[in-house]
Amino acid sequence: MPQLTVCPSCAEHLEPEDKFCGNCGAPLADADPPLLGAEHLTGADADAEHLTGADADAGHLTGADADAEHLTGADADAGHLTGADADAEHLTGADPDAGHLTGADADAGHLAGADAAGAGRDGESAFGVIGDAPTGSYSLAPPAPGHPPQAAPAPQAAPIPVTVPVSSSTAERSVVPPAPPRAGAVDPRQGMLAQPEPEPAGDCVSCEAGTVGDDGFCTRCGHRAPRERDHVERQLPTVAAVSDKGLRHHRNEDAFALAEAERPDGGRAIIAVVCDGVSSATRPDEASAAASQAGGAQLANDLADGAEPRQAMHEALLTAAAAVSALAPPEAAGDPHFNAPACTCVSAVLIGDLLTVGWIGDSRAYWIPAGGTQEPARLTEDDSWAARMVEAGLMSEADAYADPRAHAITGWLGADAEELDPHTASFHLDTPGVVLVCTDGLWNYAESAAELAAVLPSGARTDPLGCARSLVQVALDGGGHDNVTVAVLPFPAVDGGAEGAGERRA
Amino acid sequence: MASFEKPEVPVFSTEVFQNEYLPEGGAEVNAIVTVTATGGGTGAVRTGAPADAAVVVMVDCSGSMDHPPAKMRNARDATAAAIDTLRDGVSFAVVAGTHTAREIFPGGGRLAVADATTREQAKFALRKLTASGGTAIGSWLALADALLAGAGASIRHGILLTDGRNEHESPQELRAVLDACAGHFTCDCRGVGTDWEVKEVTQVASALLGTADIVADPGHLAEDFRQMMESAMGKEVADVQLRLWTPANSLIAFVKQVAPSVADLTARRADVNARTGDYPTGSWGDESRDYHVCVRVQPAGVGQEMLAARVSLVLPSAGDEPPRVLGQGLVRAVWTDDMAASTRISPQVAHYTGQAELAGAIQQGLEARKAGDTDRATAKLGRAVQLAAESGNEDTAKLLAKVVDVVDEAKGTVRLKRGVADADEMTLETRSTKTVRVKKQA
Ligand SMILES: [Zn+2]
Ligand SMILES: [Zn+2]
Repeated sequence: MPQLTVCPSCAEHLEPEDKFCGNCGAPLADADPPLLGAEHLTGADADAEHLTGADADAGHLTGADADAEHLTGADADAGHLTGADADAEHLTGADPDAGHLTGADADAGHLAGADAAGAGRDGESAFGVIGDAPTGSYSLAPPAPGHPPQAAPAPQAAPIPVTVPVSSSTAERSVVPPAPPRAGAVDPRQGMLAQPEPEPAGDCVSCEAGTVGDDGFCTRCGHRAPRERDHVERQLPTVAAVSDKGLRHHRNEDAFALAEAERPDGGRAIIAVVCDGVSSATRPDEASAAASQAGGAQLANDLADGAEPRQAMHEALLTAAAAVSALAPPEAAGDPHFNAPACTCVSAVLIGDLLTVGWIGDSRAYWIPAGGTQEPARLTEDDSWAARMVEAGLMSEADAYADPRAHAITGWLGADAEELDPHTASFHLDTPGVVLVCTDGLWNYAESAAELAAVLPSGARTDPLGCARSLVQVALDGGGHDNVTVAVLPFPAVDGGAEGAGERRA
Repeated sequence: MASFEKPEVPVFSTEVFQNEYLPEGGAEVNAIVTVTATGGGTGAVRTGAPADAAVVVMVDCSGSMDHPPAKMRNARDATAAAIDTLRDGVSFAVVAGTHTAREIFPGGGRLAVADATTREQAKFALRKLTASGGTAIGSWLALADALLAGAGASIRHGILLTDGRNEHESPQELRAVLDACAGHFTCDCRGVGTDWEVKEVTQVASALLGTADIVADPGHLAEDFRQMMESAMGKEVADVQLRLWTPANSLIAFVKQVAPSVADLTARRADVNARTGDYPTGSWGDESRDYHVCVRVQPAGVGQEMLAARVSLVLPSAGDEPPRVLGQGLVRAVWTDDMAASTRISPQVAHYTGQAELAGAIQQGLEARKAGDTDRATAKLGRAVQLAAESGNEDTAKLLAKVVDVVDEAKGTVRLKRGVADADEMTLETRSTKTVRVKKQA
């Protein structure tokens, strides 16, 4: 059963079965855990906040939550997965002489020139690629003999009596109005014991006659009231994100975190973390919330301390993974029947013109340049069965993606992850555009970078929140089968922050 | 649970097992609710505090108890063993049952309080248990009800022994007494020998939320009575109600206890309000019971979630105070187009659906056998053999093997035995509702 360990109202220690706090009686079903850095989000002047050193640690970290069902392959839209254009976005790390390499990154790769259809010519490439260690970050080991790539964990039989959504606090710029305050230490059990059941015109959106009880269900028709996490919008000056439950899932298991951090040199780091809970695992919504919050906080802290971005990205993925692993009860360790909480994670960090991405799983980052000056590109390579098979040369791309196992992920964050293999890459951007960081709930409806570019609204750079909303709507219009989450980072940063430290120091 | 329990009441925990995922248009929601009471301590462990309990032992003294003569002596010895098992401070009385009911000890419409002296006095009084007269079980229960009502104890329990049919009152009279006594006290019932009617004894136990069993050999009565009294002494809290909230426009298909035995509670609902009803569960010691709840709801769209039932254990309070909620579990419904999710069957629901079918198959098979319908009896008892084997219900499998020759356990192929002992047939019938819990997965 999903659980909090302390009461959010009075900090009383809770037992695993508690549905209400034994001390103050507060219901625990909708409890909001404290959000890291939330105290930095209350001031009126956003600029002042993210420019002062003291606040830079936590930055503008916001978290959001949301649902995902991307592992079965059944819900993936296979149609756009076989297109030849996929090659153009695939990056390889093989070529060491990329355009904008800096010393420490000299072993890095770049866009695979020939495939990139004009985007990857040396010296004039849209952006250099600073890849992983010599082999680059995209080589995926072939499956070990006798150990087929792990398919989506088998659906769990369902002793899940109560769902406890873990929802982030409302941030300063939250577009979602804060939830009305709950009644204090009134024992909610009394509500159901009242002899004459009161039936005023209710706040239930399903039957419009009942009222929503403290456990989130209508006391008349039983329908679950919409949760804060069903649709979440956040924006900071330089980045925005939207997460939505979609049309076919009962819960949003996606989550994201946004942050800005001031670098020691006065530059600004813009951070977006997007996670997708593994539906077949236990408490996937908690996994994605924990990973996005922990990963976002780690990035904000390390980058404010001056950490090298790819190193910070690597650390943040490990931190996020540890946060998810910590959700698995210790007594379940080694139990093959326990499906530990799990999620994917993809992050993007923009510092000046340096874009760093990091990921585990099949959530993705894309670069969509403005005005057709360059080809759009996918910046990440899925940890998925199909990608592995193609990478290992065992199947053609068409065959691999037509296989029912195509979308089974081969890498994830969670206590039962066989090996943690964070991928990171950096790119120098030299033309205006937007970076998209998203879950498969979006890319299932616009898989290639070119398809995403085609549905990107005009004005994406100046209105990242509008852009994120619009992209979410694309997924919903396409059927909204999965939870959908997308973060939009304009380049150059929309408020001019990316132009540099010098201005701010002056 | 959070700490709102009084120290002497066990802590109740509830666990819900279900597959909450329904396909588009799916309406039936099934769940197994496991309720476990712990922390009260059992009779063997508890010492000290005066027990807030009262017990009346009803012993059949009809003329048939003298055939053979050892039967009456065994009944006296068994009652003595039960008296020895009484905790100090427990109120008790002994009633002799014939076509009427007679107080044997202490008499005067009162109960005695157990201590060394009263226990000896009571055992001495058992010589007055002599066999002569008829059988009117309702009159025994009515007397027990009156005695227990005066005791003011919160745990009120009866132990009833009979050896013959309820010949000296009509079924309607017995039914009326049971209706009057239900909720006043709980009662365990035993049939000794093989001349009693299984349905009469199980009817009494079921109405009064107690156990029913056969003691075919009167020599085993003493041990059985000692165990029954030990179990009664372990009860910590009485009158616990299973409270069920269900949404508007839904239908409760059934509410059954399914472990440790099958008992259909559906018809025993007492409405609390339009969407809430109480089902009696009797008294609890340190024990665990499973309930199967089946609710039909109005289907909602894919991606929708609703609460199909809220199951709580409540304890009525005296006066105007609201009842205390001892534990609660939520039964949910989530509509999905993920076939893998919606076609999954909860192992617990499947198991207890099978156990309930097993009990029904045995009862129908034995009825058909009595009616001479060999084909139907063979089919039903064969199915029972198959279900018992599948679910690992070894006790029931052994009882079945005394009534049928098992040809193929897995296929449920059986032949009816000839010359089945009455005791074996009655044992199978009486214990047909006993279930086993879900086997742990390897
Ligand atoms: Zn997804
Ligand atoms: Zn409603």
